Amino acid sequence: MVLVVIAVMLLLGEGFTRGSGAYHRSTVGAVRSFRRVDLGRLRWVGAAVVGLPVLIGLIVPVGVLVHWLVRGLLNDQELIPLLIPARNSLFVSLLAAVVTVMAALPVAILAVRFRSRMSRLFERSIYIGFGLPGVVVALSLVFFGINVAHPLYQSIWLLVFAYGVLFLPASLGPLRSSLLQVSPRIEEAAQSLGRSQWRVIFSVTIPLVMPGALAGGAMVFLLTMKELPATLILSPIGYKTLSGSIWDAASDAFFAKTAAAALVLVLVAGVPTAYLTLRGHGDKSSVSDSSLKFGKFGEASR
Amino acid sequence: MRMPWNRKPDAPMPSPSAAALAALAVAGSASAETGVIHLEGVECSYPGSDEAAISNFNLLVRPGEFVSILGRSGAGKTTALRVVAGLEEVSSGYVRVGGPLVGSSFVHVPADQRRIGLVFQDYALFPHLSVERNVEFGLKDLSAEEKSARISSVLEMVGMSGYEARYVHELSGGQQQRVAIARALAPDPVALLLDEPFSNLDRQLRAALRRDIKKIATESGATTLLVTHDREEALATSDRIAVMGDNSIEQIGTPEEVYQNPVSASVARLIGPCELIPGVFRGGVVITEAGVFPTRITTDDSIPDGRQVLALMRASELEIEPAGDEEQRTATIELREFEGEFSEYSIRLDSGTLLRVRRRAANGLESGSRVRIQTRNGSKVIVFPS
Repeated sequence: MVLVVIAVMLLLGEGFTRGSGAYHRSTVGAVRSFRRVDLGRLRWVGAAVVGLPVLIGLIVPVGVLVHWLVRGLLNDQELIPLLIPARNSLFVSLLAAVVTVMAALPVAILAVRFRSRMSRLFERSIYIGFGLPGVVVALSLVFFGINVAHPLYQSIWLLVFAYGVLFLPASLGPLRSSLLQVSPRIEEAAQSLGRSQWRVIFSVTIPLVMPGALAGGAMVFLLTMKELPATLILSPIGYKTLSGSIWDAASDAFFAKTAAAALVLVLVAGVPTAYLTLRGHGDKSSVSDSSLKFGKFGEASR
Repeated sequence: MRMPWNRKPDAPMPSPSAAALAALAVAGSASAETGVIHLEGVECSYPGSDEAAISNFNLLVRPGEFVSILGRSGAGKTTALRVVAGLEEVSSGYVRVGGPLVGSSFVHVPADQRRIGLVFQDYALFPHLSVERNVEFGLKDLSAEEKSARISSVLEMVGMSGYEARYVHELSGGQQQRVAIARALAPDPVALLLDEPFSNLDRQLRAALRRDIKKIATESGATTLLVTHDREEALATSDRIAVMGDNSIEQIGTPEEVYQNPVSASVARLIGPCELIPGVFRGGVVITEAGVFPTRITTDDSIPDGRQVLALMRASELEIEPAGDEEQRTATIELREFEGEFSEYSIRLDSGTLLRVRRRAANGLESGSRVRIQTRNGSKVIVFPS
């Protein structure tokens, strides 16, 4: 409950700083690249400052995992087959990503295009999900599943629902910001060309927010892959996932098994992360405007 | 008319008044009298704002006409355009497009059923579609061949043939605007609405595109309503200009009519570069510090003797002559700008007001010399009650 209260307060603060500004005005000018500054001998200090978080945050953990795995293999520890948990994790995470983005889209449209006190309140309330610990959501859904929606209990749909509650805010952010970049004029032009508001949403708005939807979906995918408490509590009995396998192996102190599962998780989760990172680079290189990638999507959708 | 607009089916109809029913009954067919676009006493305000963006707004655009709404920013001209397009609902008055009533306090035909071609300042092309698909977007009920024929004919009309496969970000601003015009014209709209369509373009391009749009509008016979704050644009393109004051139209007429007979000081300021100087109206002349001039009254009401007025001073209607030392009501030349055949002089009145006067460049006058100001060939100065 304390966590929820803190999250709500932060949200109010954020809403206050963001105000009611509109962002969709796009600049026409080209993006200039910055001039390099030669740091001289300070170069090494700079490299260390930038490199240290990478070292601690990425190289150390992965190194430890590899170390455990190699040591376990040398000691002939039996490695549990990881194919099924990997498949399950992948499936349930993709499902959660798709469902969550689809749920976030109407909220984003409501929040950006139809501003009112109600739509604001609605959007804000969704962000509360971010402040809720996975355990809390999972336990309340267990109660809900047993007492109200019994057919859903012990099905992956309840699990996906929990992920949706937890990670809707994560997908809402990218969707919201890509929607803010779409000028309402574009939708109005489409409407004046004889398409009803509903059809405009499908033929213009959704294709244009595709980059945001993909980014948001990748985010949910990533978070779902890693999520442990909700997964443990709500997974149907016998439904093994990667994070569950890691937990099981670690609590039995089979570090090699833990490491193997964790490395698979890193690999599988690494795909969307790489997508997100590379997409960021793509944005920088297309100097004139970001519509280059719209072009690609237009091509793909035909 | 190809398609009759029906009352919005789900619109609530709270037992309309007799006047409202009469308005509906008139909503028959388009004629020169009702006009393609007809706004009567329209009021529209944005949610959350107490003041109406436009009120008591009246405008009639006849078939094939090119009409501009000229006004400073914030006057409500874009609102008027959005009302015609169906993007805003009106709280009172009657909006007719192509004949039928499409907007009033009890009817709102949405934008997608009004068959209006819209061109925005920021082009608003679809970035995820090629030029060809952009133009195709509004085409309905046509076979594939008819569609491609229509697309190539409108692209040719705007001079963009050969760009079908391009994407929006591969086009310059001027090219994007041409595509936007083609897209708006493709479905054969009842009227073409242009919202400050040239303001994002550089000066040269603006003039060229302006001429092209005028030509396209004339050739296609499209009824066109242009909204602009640029007087040059309005004067050069329009059959008629509607000059907006605050929230409503102050004067409407041909460019010549409005330029020569502005009905108020604010219209005069909007329609051409000028200076308005205070004076006293007496016996058909106006006595100002710049001189005593014969007058002309363009407002409906007469002006009583002794009334304080504003005199409209335009560079092209004034002349200057060297003045003697003992003469009264003289001014000093502050600056001479040579422009070839003419020179433009900046004349500082003793009160500090700056007037501009155009004069043949031959035997020019020196800066700093005292001059007498007259009207050219004894023409009359327009005065407005102040």
